[in-house]
Amino acid sequence: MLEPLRPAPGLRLTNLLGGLGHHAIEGVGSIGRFVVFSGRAAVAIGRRPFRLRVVLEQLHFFGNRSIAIAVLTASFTGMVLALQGHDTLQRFGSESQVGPLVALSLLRELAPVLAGIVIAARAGSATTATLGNMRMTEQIDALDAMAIDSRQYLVSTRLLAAMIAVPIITALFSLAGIVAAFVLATQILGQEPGVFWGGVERSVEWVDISLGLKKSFVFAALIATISCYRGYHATGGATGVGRATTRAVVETTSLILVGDYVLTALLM
Amino acid sequence: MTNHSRLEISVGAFVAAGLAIVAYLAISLGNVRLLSGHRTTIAARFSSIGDLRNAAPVRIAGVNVGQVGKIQLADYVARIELLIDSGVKIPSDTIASIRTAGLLGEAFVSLSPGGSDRILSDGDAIVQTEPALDITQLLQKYAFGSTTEPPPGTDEGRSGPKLEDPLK
Repeated sequence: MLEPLRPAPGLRLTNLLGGLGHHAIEGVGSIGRFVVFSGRAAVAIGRRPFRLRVVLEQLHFFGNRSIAIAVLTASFTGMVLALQGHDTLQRFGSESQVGPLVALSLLRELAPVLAGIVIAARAGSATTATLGNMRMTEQIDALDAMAIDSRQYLVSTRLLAAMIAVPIITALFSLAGIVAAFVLATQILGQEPGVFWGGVERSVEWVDISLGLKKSFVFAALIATISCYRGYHATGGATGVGRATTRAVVETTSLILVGDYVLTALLM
Repeated sequence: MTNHSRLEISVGAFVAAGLAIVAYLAISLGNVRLLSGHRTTIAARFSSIGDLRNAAPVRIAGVNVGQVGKIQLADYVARIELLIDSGVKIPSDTIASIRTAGLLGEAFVSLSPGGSDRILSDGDAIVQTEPALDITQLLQKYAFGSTTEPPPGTDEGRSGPKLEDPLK
């Protein structure tokens, strides 16, 4: 939040330091609030009542409804990788490496990141908007007034659903991308099916698959907690909900990209 | 609960499909063994293993028969463990060599079985091994002749590549 404009206090060292300190404390505080919010939601997953019905609905929303967009994104990502890879590798006479190139890029990096971004844009934004509207129309207060733990009911269920759905969508993303690249490579680029699959099977190891899945768990947690946090704490009416939604999507996608680098560096 | 709602069925199908995809990726592409049957561990010492890394394939006649296990240094030579699938019998006079797929491809261990009647069992070692070929050294040999004696027609003692001086 921007501070209201104060009369210019003049360039004094104490003012400069004071401003710096103020922002630092604010920043640390907001990170802390987010971590506490997420931690409580994670802990509340294991607490009764389990609200399986809500988890199921959210699983449908995060998972089933994301299949189409994930497969579309994955197919074109896989095909463009195959086209570009074929073009470049042809110069070295190694077109046979298109399969491994596509499969490893997808499994390790592109599937978790792109599936995460697609789900953040589709389901994460909707989550923030829903929770924000519930906050504006005092439905969250109503839940609390009825002694229903609103965080558990709204946030924990979504966190659990996302942690299940996002890795599955990521795996589907990889498979769809590899299959699309295979169809393109064999039907249009004229590769032998056996060369493509043989290369893929030889080069892909379990560590590649598990790296992508580990990433997708982290991204799922990011998507669910950030979009719930922004919606749950939305203020300022209809514009406020819009602002919260934008912030949630921007923060989630940025953190997915930064987190991907950090995870790759840590896990590889 | 006998009557499942459409929501439950579609979510169930989604999760089942997801698990199936992960299983397919892991088993078919990732070479994960669910029922890792007993594997024979056979040791081999190499003077150099080149780019060989953990979990590299072990092949006989080009067919995968296992993978490389632990790699460690013992008495300044590389001692590697070969995990051979059960059912593949390795005679005691087998030669193990480290090869690369193509010129710059991944390194793997190739076994050439001999004719001995004695079959190696768990914990035995392969005696005859061929170290990894050093492509750079090989190219040097090819380009400059033997690395030990100066190439013919050059000044005695001149070392280094015989190239046109670009400044002339």
